[in-house]
Amino acid sequence: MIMRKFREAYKEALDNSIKYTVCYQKILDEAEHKRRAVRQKRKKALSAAAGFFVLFVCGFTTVKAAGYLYSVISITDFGFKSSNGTAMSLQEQFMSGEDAAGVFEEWTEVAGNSGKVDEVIIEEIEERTYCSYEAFEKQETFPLVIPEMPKGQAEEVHIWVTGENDALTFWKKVDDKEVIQDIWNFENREAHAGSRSYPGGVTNERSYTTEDGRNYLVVDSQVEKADGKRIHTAIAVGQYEIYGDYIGYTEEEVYKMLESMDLSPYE
Amino acid sequence: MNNKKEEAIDKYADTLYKLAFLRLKNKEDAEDVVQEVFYKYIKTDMQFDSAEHEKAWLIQVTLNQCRSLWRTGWHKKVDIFDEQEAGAVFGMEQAYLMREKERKLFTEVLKLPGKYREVIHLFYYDNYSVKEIAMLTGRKENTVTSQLTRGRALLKKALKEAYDYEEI
Repeated sequence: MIMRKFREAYKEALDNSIKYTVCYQKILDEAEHKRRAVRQKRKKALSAAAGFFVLFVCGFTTVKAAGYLYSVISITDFGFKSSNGTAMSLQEQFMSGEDAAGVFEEWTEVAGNSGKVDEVIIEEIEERTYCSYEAFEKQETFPLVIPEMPKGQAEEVHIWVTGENDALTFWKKVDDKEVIQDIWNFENREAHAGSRSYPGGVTNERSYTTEDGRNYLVVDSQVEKADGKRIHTAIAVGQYEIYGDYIGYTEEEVYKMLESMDLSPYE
Repeated sequence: MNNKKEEAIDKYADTLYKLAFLRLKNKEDAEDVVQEVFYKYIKTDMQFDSAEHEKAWLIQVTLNQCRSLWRTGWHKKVDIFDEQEAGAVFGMEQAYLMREKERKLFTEVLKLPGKYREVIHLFYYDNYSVKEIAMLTGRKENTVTSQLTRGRALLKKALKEAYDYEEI
């Protein structure tokens, strides 16, 4: 049997599905060139708004049995930092969140010199994306508790699940306001330490206790952007860490959203 | 704009757009990338030794532009493609009209990790050799070979129809 060449089949499939005709006007138009730059900046702004998370993890061995795994989250000048019992002995020498690359070198050095951590890994792991909660639910088992956001006209949702339920990011935009929930699952990790940083740093550190007794750390972004106030929250529940970024909402609205979440699935 | 540049834009627009789309999996971003590449091409004073040199330059700038977008974090997060999303990417009507086999093949290529997708496309669509792909992407030849092999292995596993992959 003669097999069809993949090259031919691929070319045919691609040519039949994608066709592009260039528009000279758009290329030459300086205003259009600027608009393209603005569109890309907006996308950059989204990732910046979500905070930059640096995470260091070690494998799972016997420490879990010792009940030594629960996370401690604290506030830094730039956002939050967290670590569990195993990593805590290294915490003093650990990150301010100011310079991720520097921190990594420092951590590697510390880990190597101390002999307490065998291996430090920055993992590149698979991510799966969903554009609706329904699509996410069909495919995934990661527990996802979503805050009840005030209703609006236009809504957009993206959910990203990383690795084997290692992490989940939920992003929802309602009109011009956004909520981002980053949920990290450390149940299969012996040691972890992370730092979540926000551009320009954070201020007004406080805590908020919900009616069901959950205690959130709360900070504001130092620099308020054109899209309004940015409030960031963090909480450790069981072996999960949950970070929330609320963009454009008032403090009252944020607390109401925190109250709307039942975090018991994470315990 | 001189005629020579206009001709080159006509000639390579579709090629560059396909490459950008394969990398970014988003029509609007691919269009932005191609327009930005041509904007740079029009502005550059660079002298090209040959048509091949010119095409290679355009492909390199396209790949760099895609990578720059990729680094924004947004695209890192949306680098996944589900068959169900084909409708959203191609438009429902177009997705429906595409022949089943073609749609499956294209969808499986889009599902590959970005680096594999890139080399598979340059090898099979643009007919570049491993050596040329290494030059265009700034990777080692061994890396390109291994990415090509892994990409092919994933496609063989995913596609029911057996193809001749012209293995190297």
